[in-house]
Amino acid sequence: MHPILSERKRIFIYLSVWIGLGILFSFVLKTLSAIPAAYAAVIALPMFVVLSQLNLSAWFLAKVFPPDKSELWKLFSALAVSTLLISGIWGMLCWGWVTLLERYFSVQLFSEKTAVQFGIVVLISAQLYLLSVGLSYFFMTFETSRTAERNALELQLLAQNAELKALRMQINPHFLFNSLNSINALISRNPEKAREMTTLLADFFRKSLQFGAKEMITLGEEVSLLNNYLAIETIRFGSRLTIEQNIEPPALAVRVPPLILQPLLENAVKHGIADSLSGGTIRISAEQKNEQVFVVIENPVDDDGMKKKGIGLGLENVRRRLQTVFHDTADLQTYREGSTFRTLVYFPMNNIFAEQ
Amino acid sequence: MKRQTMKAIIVDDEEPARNLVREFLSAHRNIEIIAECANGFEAVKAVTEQYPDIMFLDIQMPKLNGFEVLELLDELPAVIFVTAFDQYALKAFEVHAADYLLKPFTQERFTEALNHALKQFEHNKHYSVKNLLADVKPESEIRERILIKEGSKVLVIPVEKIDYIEAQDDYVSLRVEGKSHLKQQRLSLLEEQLPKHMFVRIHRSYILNIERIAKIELLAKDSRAALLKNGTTLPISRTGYEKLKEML
Repeated sequence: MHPILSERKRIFIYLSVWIGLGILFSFVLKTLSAIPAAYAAVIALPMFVVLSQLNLSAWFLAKVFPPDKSELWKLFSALAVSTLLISGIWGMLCWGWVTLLERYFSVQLFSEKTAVQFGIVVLISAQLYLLSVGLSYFFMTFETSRTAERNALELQLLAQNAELKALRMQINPHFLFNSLNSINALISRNPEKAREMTTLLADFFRKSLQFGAKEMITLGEEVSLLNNYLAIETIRFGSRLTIEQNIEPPALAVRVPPLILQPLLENAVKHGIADSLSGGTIRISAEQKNEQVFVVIENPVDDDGMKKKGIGLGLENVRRRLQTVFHDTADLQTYREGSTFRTLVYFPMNNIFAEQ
Repeated sequence: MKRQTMKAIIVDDEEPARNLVREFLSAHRNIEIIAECANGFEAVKAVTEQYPDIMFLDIQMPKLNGFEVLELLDELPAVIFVTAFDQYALKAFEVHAADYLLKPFTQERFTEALNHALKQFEHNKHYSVKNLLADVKPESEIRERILIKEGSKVLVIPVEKIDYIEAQDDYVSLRVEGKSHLKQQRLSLLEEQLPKHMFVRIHRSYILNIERIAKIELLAKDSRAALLKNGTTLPISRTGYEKLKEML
């Protein structure tokens, strides 16, 4: 939509400016050509209303040739052609209108219509058209910078929300209460283990808060958090939970958003261990391949004939965070192969946060 | 007067959690632990075979949660829920649980819960606890699976595996993969619990999985029968046919 036509108020102001210009031109006409004021107004005002409509096209020119993306010669040739066209059309219309008025009122308004007069008319309209184009560009740049500013703000807000959500998910109250219950149980039977679990739990929450406050952490830091979490769950689930890890050291340097893998691991433990009678093995692997780091988390699923529900809210949240930070260079995918559920996440090795 | 010994079972999928209950119970000489169960299936079996007086029951367990365990039992012991989740307290109240222990808890709070359970047990031992459950509103939430107890064994049947269900006196008979399974429930209640896009009450005594229909035969005016893919023929009533027509 044309910015002027999109609001009634703007149309009114725009037309007022042009009628003002029309009145000004009437005076010039009256003074220079010695035409009675009434005739001058009858000639000039309608023609300026017409010109105002023609000049609306200036905005489309600005739109098709944005200043920062167009080649200069293309812009200037387009400008030249459209200026000639608009002022040419207007010049002819003026000529026609004057001729029509002379016939209708049977008067001779101009002693003679010379090429010089026509040239002046064309020149005036060309100047006004160029002015319109200039103002269009000015308006457009203003709008663009405002939109960009708003987009940046929105993006920032989105990232903040994602982080908050991740943190909230992180501090899963049931995980905390069940762990505290385990400690409660261990205190008399196995005080050493109770002490170990207390420390593990403290480390886990400290790391969660520390990492969660940062924009990016290394995969190594994230993995240390995962190990902390797994150590706690091993005490809770006992022989139901076994862990296999295969993490290649070069992959540990990649920078990732904090707590991006933790919800995935929590999911794997919930579906693969807590919801299963016999438990099983959680496998975590990470490797670097072609400037990308691939992390895979596997958990067993037993087929009890239940239909699989769609991708969970937790996974969707992780995917959205990846998108916000990395756009299309990172993603999350899930597969089910027989009785194994596999979650794959990949990150770009040299991402924009690599130097921080 | 010497108090009689009470039999208790502990149901929790986490070993440390079972240990804690065991330890807290050791202070009470009149309670004997007759079983520890790591999941709901073991719990149903233990309760059916050993008739405990008190049950410590976790809610979030694999495959069969604490409430489903209760649903499957004919005779209920006094139940103390032991869980880290506080959002089930209201539902626990509805199934007349003696108490609701939130993990982690103290020995004092545990003893208090135990006393509630003993009181409930004294109060209820003259009549079946199941009677108490009768006034609980039957749940009409849509189920993805139907639980059936055969002896002390629990069957979990995903609803899409059911061919049809037939009413038989106080029971319903579920036809699944060539076998029949009896469940004590009214057909109308089961009808409310089954997904509407899959099952239709085609007759006063039959609910049919519409995916099993091979064709519908017209026997006489206003008298129709459904021929299933496995060769079974089931009668369709007039209102049943109206419902079926809407779905197909």
